[in-house]
Amino acid sequence: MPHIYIPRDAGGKPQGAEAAYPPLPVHHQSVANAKENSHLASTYFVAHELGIALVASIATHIGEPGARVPGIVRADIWHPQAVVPTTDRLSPNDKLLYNELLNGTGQQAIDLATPPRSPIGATIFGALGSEGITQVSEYVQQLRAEALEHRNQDPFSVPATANAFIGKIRDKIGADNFRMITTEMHRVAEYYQDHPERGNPARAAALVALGGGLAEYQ
Amino acid sequence: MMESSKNRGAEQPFGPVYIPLSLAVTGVSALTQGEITAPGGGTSEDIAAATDSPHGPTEAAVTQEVSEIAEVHELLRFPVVEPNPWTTEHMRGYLTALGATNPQVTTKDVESIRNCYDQQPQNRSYHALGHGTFVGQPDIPDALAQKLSDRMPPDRARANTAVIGMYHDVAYPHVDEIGPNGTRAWPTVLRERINGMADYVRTTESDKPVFTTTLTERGKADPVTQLVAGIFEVPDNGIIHNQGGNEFVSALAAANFLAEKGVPTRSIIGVAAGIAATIPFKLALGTDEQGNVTDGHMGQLAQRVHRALLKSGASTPEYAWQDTNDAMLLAVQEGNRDIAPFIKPNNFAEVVHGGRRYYTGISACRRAATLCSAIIRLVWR
Repeated sequence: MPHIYIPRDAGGKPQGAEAAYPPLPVHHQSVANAKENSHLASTYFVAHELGIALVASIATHIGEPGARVPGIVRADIWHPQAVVPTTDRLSPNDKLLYNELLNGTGQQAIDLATPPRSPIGATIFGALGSEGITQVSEYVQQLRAEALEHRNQDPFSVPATANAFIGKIRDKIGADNFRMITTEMHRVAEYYQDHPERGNPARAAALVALGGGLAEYQ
Repeated sequence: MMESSKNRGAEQPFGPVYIPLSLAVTGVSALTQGEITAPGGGTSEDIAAATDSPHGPTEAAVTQEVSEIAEVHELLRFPVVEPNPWTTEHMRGYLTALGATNPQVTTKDVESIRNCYDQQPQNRSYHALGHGTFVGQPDIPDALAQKLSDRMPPDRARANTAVIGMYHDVAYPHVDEIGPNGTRAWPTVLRERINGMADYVRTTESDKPVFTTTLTERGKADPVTQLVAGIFEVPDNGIIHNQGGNEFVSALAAANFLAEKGVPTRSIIGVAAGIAATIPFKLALGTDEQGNVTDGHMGQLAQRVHRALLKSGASTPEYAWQDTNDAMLLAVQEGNRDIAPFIKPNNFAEVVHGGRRYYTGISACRRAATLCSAIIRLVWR
């Protein structure tokens, strides 16, 4: 919360807003900026985490040895022509978010954390627009809770749960969007196949996420 | 920041980063949406005129007005004027400007502060060395300098803000917990600075560690500790880490260092007040039951600073409010610099960047971040 102070006179009485520091218009703008930055950052993470959850479920769903499914992809290995046809309908703020999700334009030290070109989150974001992100994210949480319940009953049921998981997400976002997302994933998968030296821990990571990671919700 | 990131108390099942960020703006409602009526002194009318309350212009009108004020952009810029303040030369200069009788410092003196942010293994995600460097800038905007009294010359003001920033996050146990039992929640260098005047206990609530700092018997008898505890209003049963406890410990370490160097009490109070201003998620302004504008965090802090100045003899009744104003003006500057990533216009990417780093934390984010960090660590190994 941006701060403001109104100086006191010699008797301890506030001198009036005109004496405030920062000046009231500055404080007002600071508050507005904080709201907008927080909102955009929040939406960013919702989209990003939703993308990760989807990747995890699909990786699990594939369930075959050595399955090539992307998790988070570095800029230098992600397909440079990823296209989401709906981006032209995004608002200016949504475009900012989309570009950040896909290209990580605001990152200052990209090797420290999530790399740029996180295509799944961006693709979902572009497909749905920011308004649908929170709704879908809540739905994913619900599905993850269900997955946890299944896991408790049968530790080996994760793939089956993921199968249902994917089906529900597909129903939620529409077959066309789902197809587009999976197409994007396949592009990356092809890259992995062409560059085995990159390794492919994504499937193991997905299993960790969907299985062990769900222990967080116990 | 995060704040922004500091207070992760809000329990949400999905995402430990963005939920606290949204909390950072909940306090805005009292200012921007509340029914603001006459509080006396003309203050409310001015405030109402600058907000979108029923008595003021629309938000769009205010935004237009704001865009015409060049100083807005200047004040929101938060420049970095000294890329590396962690040198003995700088600290010696700051201490001299603060009036220290013994401004000589060693490399160890400076590194003991710096290492709190930068010690290895590095488990800080948000508040690492770069943050201490940024908040510890000896920068005073012209608009602020013009408001300071002649009892706060520019050099002292700059030194004051630098020391506030360099010390403000030296204690940060809820992020920096290194061992599973929190045995190193206070780095050794910090514990040495606290010098037995306070201690903490670690408990667990809802599977989350809670650090409660209390004064020791020595601390209860120590004037410097009492001074800082009074500014922070530390209750007898202790202060919780995310409710000002971290900042209290940081301020106590700073105060002990400054006292050791012979810095006058008035400057020590100023530094402690500035660190107190970095306590996150406090209301800027409030309203009472009648809708009158009331003091927020800064106003309440000013009252405590005023009491401390008088009680310690650091100021006289004639100058006490003047000195309080000087201290608080610098404090509000540092409080805002602490959350600069949120305040800067069009800066969500920097906030996101902090969150990304946060996701890579090992023990700091065990809720939803498990999902992310597990993948990240495996993909990047």
